[in-house]
Amino acid sequence: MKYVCKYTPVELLAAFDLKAELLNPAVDNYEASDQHIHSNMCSYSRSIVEARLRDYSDPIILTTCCDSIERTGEVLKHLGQKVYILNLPHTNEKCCSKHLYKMELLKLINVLSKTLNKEFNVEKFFASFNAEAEDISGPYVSVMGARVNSDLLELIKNESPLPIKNITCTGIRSAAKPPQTDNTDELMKWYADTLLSQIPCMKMSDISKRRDLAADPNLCGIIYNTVNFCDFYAFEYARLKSTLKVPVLNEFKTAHSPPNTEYGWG
Amino acid sequence: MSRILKKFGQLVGSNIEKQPKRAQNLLKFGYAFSGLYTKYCHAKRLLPYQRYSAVVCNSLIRYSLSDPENSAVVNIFFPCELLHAVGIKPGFVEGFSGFLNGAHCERFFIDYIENAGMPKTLCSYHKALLGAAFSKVLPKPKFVMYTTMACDANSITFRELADFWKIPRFIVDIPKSIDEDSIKYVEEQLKQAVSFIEEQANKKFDYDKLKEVIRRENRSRRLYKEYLKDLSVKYIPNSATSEMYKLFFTHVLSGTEEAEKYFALLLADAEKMEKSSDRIRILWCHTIPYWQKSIKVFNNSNKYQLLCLDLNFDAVIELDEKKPLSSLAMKLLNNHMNGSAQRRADRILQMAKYLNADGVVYFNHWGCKKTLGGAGIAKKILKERGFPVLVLDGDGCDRENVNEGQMKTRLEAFLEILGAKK
Repeated sequence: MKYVCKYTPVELLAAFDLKAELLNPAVDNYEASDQHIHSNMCSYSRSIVEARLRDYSDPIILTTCCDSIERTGEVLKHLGQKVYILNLPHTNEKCCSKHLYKMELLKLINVLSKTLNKEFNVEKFFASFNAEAEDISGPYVSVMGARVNSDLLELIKNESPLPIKNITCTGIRSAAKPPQTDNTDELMKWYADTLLSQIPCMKMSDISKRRDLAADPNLCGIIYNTVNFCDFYAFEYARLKSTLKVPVLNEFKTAHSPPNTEYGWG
Repeated sequence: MSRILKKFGQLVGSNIEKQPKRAQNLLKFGYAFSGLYTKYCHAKRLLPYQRYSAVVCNSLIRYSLSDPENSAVVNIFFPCELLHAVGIKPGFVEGFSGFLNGAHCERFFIDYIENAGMPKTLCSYHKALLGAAFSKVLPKPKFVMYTTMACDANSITFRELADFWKIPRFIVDIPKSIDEDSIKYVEEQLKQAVSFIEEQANKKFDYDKLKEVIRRENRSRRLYKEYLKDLSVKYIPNSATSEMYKLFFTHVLSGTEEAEKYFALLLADAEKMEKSSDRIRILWCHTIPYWQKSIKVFNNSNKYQLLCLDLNFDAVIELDEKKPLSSLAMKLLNNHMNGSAQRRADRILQMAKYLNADGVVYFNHWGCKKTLGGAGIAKKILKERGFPVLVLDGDGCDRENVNEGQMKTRLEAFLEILGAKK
């Protein structure tokens, strides 16, 4: 199953033997997708539609992480593709938001149980938390901002003299080990809190934890990625550039789109 | 007049960087003058409802500039009933930026914030307001409050505004689905919003006043429904500007005495009109660039009936004064701008049928990803049910981000096709 957002409950999918794979397409053009989604949507969304029009064998799970992704999911649904969209709250500081996300997770369990004719497997759920986390000690350069496609990330990793930490909006997914319990309701309560307590993306109301990303003394520089028509990250880049002492580079504005994209209706 | 306004806009713009206070005073003077001009000089050309709405909207915008300590900046969907109950005046993004456009100075503010690093691709209403705030032309209000509904730009704009002004902010997160948990979620946040307002305004929240506001809103809604019934079979003179003013009364002024009077005048004007089916009847989705030449074709026209913006019937819902917060939560959740493109398209379809529309213009306002992303779905649904649709790319606020010639050609061609069908 393909996913795009770090708040996606990939461990829950593993409990149903579904392998979650981050969807990070790099396409040459938008010939097919332009028939279905407006060209002034974010280029990542358009890439998803373009890629899915060429190959839609796997189902896809999205969250309402931004307006573009939300509408992308709807467009794909209208094209007859298998898409599941999770309602993602904008906050974690409000107790009800955790409850609401817990209910979304329980609803997903219910849907998967019926669709796959399987039970939620608690052991597989626990086991899936063993995935190795990216751990870099010592000086490093971070790739920050909006999602970066896998080809570009590999290129940066290969060329950089320092280790690269991917802390873009999909790259800093982290989930601690769950408490031992058989109570699914309790488990999902914990899981919702854990997912929502990750380093926030810019959709979230409280982004104060993001300051920690730039405050690490081992941070030697930032490659800041912005995506065309994604409005969330450009202003953070401007702010970091004017306040940080480490070099901040923003050369990847067209990461998910062909070059020469111009702004404006004219 | 247009040349004078252009000069005025340049004068405001030339002051925003070095003398923001002067730019602010110029705007105050300009709006005060235009308020008087509308009241006394425009009188004969406008229907009573149009004149009244122009004066009230002008006055609300001036309030944000002259009495910021008693006002809050909100987004258009924020339930301002809570503010009316304590006497705090709302200033809102689309309203304030629309007025900056009216003063021909929006581009200076947009330039200002783009130069500060805000992306060009952000909604131009939001950019203009951010530019006005960051340049210190728009004074610091008491606080900001907003909902997450319909638009990611709210999350960016209000966070930046609160940081810049160093004032408290309150967010009401609106889920996409409507069920018991969602209603409770929103209701709980509205309770917290009440406490926030009490604390910031240093006033005890008066639930009796809120009930009064809700009763007025319900009376207004009934008048509006009667008006819409008349509109379905009559020609009622309208203009793009009047539809934009209507947004104030269907949203941030909902529940006020001004809104009740507006809807009473709207209905009274409608009742004077005769039944008519010879005009080409257009339903418009999203905001409308009232300032563009090509759009003036709709203004109190003999040939066309501009029916309504879909934003002006996004939540025509009766509230329950016995459960004020719960019913406000329901109103927010049921707003057709919340949730899927299908939900919005279904509501547009329902109203296109009800208002006997001949065609629908779906306006892709710059930067509105929800609208842009839903365009294909809306077009398909409406066309399948026999409604011709024109998907029109444009900008509701930034006059430098439009291709006037292309827009005119496309709109004229569409209206011609509809005319031939009639």
